[in-house]
Amino acid sequence: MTRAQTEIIGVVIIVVIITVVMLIYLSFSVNDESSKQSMYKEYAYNEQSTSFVQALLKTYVSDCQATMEDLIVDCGTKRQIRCAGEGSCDYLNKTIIKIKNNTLDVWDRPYGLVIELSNYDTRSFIHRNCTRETVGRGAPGVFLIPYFPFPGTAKVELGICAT
Amino acid sequence: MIEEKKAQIQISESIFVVIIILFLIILGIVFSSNAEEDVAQKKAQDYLDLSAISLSQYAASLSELQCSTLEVRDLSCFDKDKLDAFVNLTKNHPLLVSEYYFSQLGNSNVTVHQVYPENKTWNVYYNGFLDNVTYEQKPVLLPISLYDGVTKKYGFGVVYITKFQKVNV
Repeated sequence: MTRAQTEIIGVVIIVVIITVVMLIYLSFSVNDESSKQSMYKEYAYNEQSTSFVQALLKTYVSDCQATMEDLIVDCGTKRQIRCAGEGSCDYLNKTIIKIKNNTLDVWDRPYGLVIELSNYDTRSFIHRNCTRETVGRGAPGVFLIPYFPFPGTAKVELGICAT
Repeated sequence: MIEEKKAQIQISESIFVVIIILFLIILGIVFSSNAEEDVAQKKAQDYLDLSAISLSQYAASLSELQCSTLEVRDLSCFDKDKLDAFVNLTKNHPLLVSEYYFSQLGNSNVTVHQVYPENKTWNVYYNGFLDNVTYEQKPVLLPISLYDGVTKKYGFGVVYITKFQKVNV
């Protein structure tokens, strides 16, 4: 075999190798694209987080004669509301647990529900598959409740955890 | 003799090149057909996603069920009295309801479930396929406030919207 022939075969082998590598790369990139979070999930999680907090704050607790929003404000300020012999903070926790047990836990979404009453008082309800680091990274529903006429603001946040 | 050998080598060289080119072409065709199939599947999935999303938006904004104050609609809220009335209408005139809402709700199931203060369920709309049809389901869960017109208080509920989509087997 002449030198030229050997070189041609070498070039052909290189071309084949490059083509195969490109095809493998392209096939992986197509698969990656399809495994990305779908718009459905993105929409559903966003909508759920926002609507959940919105509906939660409006919910009326008859034992306290107040809405959940009132309970949060009371728990973060005066702590005067009494609910069937309990304080507003305890009853707030109890009601949230009751609601989330029948919704978020049943749906098995990796959620993180955090109520920040002040810099020193935060109540967290976090799904077992979430950690403090991953809470609220995706699809957050955030609501701020001013304590007016008292100073400060409460923050209620429901986020689907980043996985 | 040498000339003949040279020609033979050139022919085998050409055959080798043709084989390599054919191999590359076949590889390209196989890859592109697989990629096209993936893209088509993804598009079909996206279409189902979009229809489930638009269905959930339509169902959540049904003025027949939404709360309103002085003709101003309250978003993310259903009126319990309106739900009761709608369920009665569905029970009494199932065909009429199916026909009227089919253009928007299509083959789907819409159920409202109150979680707090007490559990209660309203089956708002159902239009499924026949038993022998294979279909997939796309559920959307939407938390919502449920307004009680008598006590003027809100409860916590969830709208379960399931879109049924025929699957070609």
